[in-house]
Amino acid sequence: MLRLHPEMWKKFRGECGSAALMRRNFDFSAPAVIISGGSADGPFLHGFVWDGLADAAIVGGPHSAPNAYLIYETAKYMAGEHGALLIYNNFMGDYLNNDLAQDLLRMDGIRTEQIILTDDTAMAGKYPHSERNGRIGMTMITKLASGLAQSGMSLEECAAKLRYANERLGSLSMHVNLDTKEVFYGVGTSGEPGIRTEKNIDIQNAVEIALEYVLNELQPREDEKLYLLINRMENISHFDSCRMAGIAADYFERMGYPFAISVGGYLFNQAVYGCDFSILCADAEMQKHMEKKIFADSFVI
Amino acid sequence: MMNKSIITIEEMRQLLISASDQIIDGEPMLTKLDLQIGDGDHGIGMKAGFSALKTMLKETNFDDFYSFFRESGITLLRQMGGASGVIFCTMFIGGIDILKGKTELTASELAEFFSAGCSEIRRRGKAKPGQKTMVDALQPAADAMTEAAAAGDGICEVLRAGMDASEAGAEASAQMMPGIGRSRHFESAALNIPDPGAVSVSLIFKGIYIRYAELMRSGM
Repeated sequence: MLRLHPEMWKKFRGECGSAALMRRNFDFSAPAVIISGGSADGPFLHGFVWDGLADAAIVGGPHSAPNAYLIYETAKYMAGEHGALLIYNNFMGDYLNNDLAQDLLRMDGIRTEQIILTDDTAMAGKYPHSERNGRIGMTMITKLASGLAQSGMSLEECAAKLRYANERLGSLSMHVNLDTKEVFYGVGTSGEPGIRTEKNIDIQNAVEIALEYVLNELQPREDEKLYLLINRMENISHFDSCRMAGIAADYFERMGYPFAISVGGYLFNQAVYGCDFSILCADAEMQKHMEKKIFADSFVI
Repeated sequence: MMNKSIITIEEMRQLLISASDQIIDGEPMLTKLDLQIGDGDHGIGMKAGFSALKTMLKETNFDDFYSFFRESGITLLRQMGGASGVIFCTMFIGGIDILKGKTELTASELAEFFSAGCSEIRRRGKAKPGQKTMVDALQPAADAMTEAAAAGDGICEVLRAGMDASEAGAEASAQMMPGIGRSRHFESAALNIPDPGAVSVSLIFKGIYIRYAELMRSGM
């Protein structure tokens, strides 16, 4: 990766042997945006170290959180006088390691804020928002975090806004079995059973069911604009995922929602035909930072 | 001659080295337990962590107990990784805020240190007693040490109380249904098997007490 874009990326090597990927242009003039999590195929997380996105990514093994000490070392290096945002999905390993890293940083007098993402709408029936796992919404939150940090907001102001954004964020997966013509909603990343199955429905209905599910939970407000991110899974073509984006656009227009859509292979975590749908209901402040498209190495967001 | 009402950094160094030896020697037993109700790597991870801890303790000088336990916790974290690395690091750094500048600890301070570490583990790990975790050995140990210190007991008696309570807690964990962590998935199949993390805690307190008792007998 470093050889592909040496102008963008550099390595931060920790004492315990592993390394974080850092944005080369990071100049310590704003709160550092640090994302972390387990590894998977696809540009997320490393590829999200980019101008307008994360300042550093710390990646563990497959489905395995990175070591707290590397998070601590990276944030200690990058925090400067503006502090660091530690952004991650709500899984136990990620929480344990980021929480301990924050404690170690506090002992060294370094300010950090944890931003714990809980956008898995499939868990809405059983868990309050704060206890759900995180899904692909972290991609949009990373972009928002960069915008907020670069706008001159303090660490604490950024954190407050990002936590609010998390409450206005929902994601749902949709898997399609083309042989049996079944559509499964909310299947977990480790194969956890889904929340709803439909059979013999067309693609328009399939997409609209997913969007309705998320929007019923989020209840968009009048002043909000919807930012939809469609993450295609391994076995679906880019063309088909763009078709789904078109269906979503028609749906939003019929429902009267202002919207913007990003489509791409951000995180290939499942070898199925399907997509993740992630919706951020953005208020005016968030819209300022979500409007500009970011053209990264292998995706647009 | 050892002062029975305080413990020094040098003495604690020897106690933790002894605790490390208990973990290192106990690896086969911990692995066997964890193969039954976990993924089998607890013993190996603990051995790696406490081997590194033992080496660090032999090679490092410390200005105060704060740096002593901070380095001990971080050594475990760097070596172990995973949830165990976080939890056992927290056991040693969770209570260090009260140790800044201290080169000797009273029995009460020692009990307070382990209690604070346990509280922080419970907060961070979201674990409660009775869920078949290392808390089921550490909380009884911390409570027993606090009680002994409050009764005016010296270092030896406080450490003995910790060892006995942690051993009883680890044993009791065998009859608990797992409420958190990987062993949850074993459900009733986890009964009659003590929690490996709880057993590790009991080995740590055993190593601490055995060495302290040896030092007392030798009159150093």
